[in-house]
Amino acid sequence: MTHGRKVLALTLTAAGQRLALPVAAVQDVFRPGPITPVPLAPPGLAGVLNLRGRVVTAIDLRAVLGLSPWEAGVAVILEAGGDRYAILADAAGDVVPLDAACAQPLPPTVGAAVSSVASGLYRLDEGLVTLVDPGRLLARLGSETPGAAA
Amino acid sequence: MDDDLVQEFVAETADGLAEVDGLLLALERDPSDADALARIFRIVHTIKGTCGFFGFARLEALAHAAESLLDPLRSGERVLTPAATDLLLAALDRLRVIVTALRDSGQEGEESDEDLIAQLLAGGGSDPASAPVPAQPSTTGPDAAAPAEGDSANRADGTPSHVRVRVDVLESLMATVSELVLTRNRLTQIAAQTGADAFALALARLSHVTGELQDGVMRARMQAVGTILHPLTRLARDLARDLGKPLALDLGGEEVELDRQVLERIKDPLTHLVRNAADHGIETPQDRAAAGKPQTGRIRVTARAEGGHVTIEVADDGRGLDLDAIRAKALARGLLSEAAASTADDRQLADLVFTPGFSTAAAVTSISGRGVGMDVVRRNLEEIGGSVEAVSSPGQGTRFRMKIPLTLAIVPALILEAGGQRFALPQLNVRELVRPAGNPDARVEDIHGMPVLTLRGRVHPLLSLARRLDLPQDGDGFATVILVEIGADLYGLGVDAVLSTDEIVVKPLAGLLRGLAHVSGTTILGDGSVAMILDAAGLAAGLTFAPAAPLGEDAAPAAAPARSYLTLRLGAGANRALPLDAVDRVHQVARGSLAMSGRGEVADIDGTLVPVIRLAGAEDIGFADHDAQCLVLLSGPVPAALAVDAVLDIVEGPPEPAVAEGCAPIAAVMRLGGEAVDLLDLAWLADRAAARAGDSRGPRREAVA
Repeated sequence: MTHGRKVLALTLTAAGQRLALPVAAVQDVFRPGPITPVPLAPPGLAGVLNLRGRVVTAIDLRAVLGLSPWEAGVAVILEAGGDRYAILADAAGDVVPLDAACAQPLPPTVGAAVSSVASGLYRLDEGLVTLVDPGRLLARLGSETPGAAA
Repeated sequence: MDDDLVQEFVAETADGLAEVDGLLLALERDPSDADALARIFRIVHTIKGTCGFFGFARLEALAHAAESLLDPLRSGERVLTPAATDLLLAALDRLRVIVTALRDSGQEGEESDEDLIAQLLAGGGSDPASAPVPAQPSTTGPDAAAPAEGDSANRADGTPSHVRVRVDVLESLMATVSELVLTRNRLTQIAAQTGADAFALALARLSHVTGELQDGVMRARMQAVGTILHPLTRLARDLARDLGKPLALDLGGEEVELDRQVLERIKDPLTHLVRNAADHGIETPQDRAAAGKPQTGRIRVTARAEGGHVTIEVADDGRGLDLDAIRAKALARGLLSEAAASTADDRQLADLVFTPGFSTAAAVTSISGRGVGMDVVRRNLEEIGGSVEAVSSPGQGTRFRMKIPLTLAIVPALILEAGGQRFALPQLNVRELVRPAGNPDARVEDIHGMPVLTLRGRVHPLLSLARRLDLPQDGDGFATVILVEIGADLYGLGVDAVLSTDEIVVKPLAGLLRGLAHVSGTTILGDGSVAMILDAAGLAAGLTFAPAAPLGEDAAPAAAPARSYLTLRLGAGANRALPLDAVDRVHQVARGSLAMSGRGEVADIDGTLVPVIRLAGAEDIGFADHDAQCLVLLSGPVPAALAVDAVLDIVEGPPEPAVAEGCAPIAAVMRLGGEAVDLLDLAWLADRAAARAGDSRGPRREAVA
């Protein structure tokens, strides 16, 4: 679905922050049901939930970005290593083309929480959006979980 | 070439080679076993023939050479010598290598088999590999081979009674059944909440059929333990040669069945235990002679089905564990304190062999003794919810006992609550439920700031699930205590409530969660929400287990009289039990002896109409097509009969099992005869009986009239 160096991305908001995930990685978007917390899991792992009979692991974007967790309005399903993960955010927006040529480096002032999972900053009409790299997101959570193999 | 055909050939050849392995060793023990020889010849001949068809030249040449060695044996010209056996085993190994290559790449591989083929061909000629037949007439004639021609997998009329099913087809069938079980659980819960009677009958039928389908698919996935035990014979033979110790391996219980996924997971631990027994357990022939033992060391591997699990024991008649050396080493390594080392009992010391990096082998050998292995054995078993323990008798030998779940896909579990969250705990790990409040036999106490459970005079370590998992906690967290069993160790797990027992479908953890020690998977509950499955061993990490001996003066577990229980099968799920003294008698149901009265079902028992009580889930198992069902007449004040699928047994059990709350008609989960069963709630049954006694007044008058 990419044209030239454009990448299609699904925009999300989490605690007022504008984020985006590459559409190529997204399998499904739905409103999450009740989430069962996983005791002693790192903060970014919100828990597990039932998606049409499959158990998916929920990742709370707010917590990952160092923001206070809140009730999620939307879950975006990604698949990695044969497992399904639900990325929780406040709301999903439009699918927009992002031009890789226009990617801007993240300002050094954003914390490691954001820079460790982001692959670039893009300007849209509504404002700046941070493109999240799903691979780096899972890798970071894996590094926070003892003995995890993402 | 047709890939499916090749894969089928590969699978059949692999099976054939495995069978030849065992037959060859049987033949070595008893060279006059003509049936074994004929069967070997036939399998090798079939492999040779089929290779020709596919054009697998390398396989064909090797099989042909092996056949050349076998032929004079079969015709009785020569007898099998150990050297010839070695040669044939080497040929089998080579065939296996090629077959594996075929499976993976479709190619035979380029290596040369000239050396082996030359030896095999020579073995059939003048080489001393096979000795000329002694003078007496041999029974190993070609005629003797004839009876073995019939294949046990085929019926007399030639119709095959077995079909080969692809593993992935079985797996997807299992996944589908799992979904069905979940949906059934969900429907049952909805029906219970809404009380929609219109669905009750159909739902009960669905529930019953789902249970049968689940059993059927599970059985299709089961394989005899023999498939992993038989290769051990070969292993023992190789070990005997490598170690220079004469060894005999006895197998028992090969017919016991386990889920193939489970078999796959215990293959390595089992192999390691046999290696370990051969290397460390069995003494050198000189030492054995000095100890007055027969020179040949014996290793016995026995499988036994026990309730909801299987135990496999690897026992040797060697020197036993050197507990003093273990004690000294544990002390030196700081694994035991000075005080703990002096009080540790034999069982605790024996258990230390499973500690990572712990090895007492004086010399490091290529077989074992590198300090890796026993800890891996334990970890592998714990990963599948099983356990392993060691029992040693000095000078007499060592026994390693593995406890293994029947399947990994659907397991009976307790659903419990702690810190406001629900969890599942596999029943394999549950020994007993205890409610400390008002129970004189069970006390929760504090020793140096650590909670302990004193149960019938025995002290067990205790932890609160909520506190262990860092969850909010009301009260002390010990409202109900589950006595959890991991191997030989017991510990108390405090929870807020035990809600029910369920057959749960195990869903593996996603990669990101796999590192968490305290959970082993997830499952979907009846209401659609997800619960974590607790890992009994992972939760206990860091607990120290006390000696198994009872403490103090009040230790008198034997004084408590046992009570007899009647075990029953009743709908899906765990077996049920009733105290025997609550049962008047058991009555087989004859066709037509049950009738629906205006307000419920009644049974005509010796001219008296007795109201029939059924438990949820057994509602509709229609009597019309289940003639053999039983009624259990209760000995309560009101006559009533409980409908059950089957009466199983009378078992001795603890007098007063602890009671779990809020899940009538089940009063408690208890361990009877090595199996977790649901104890039915007598108060609940009495209530139902009283309610129904009013209902059946109408029909009773009719019967009198």
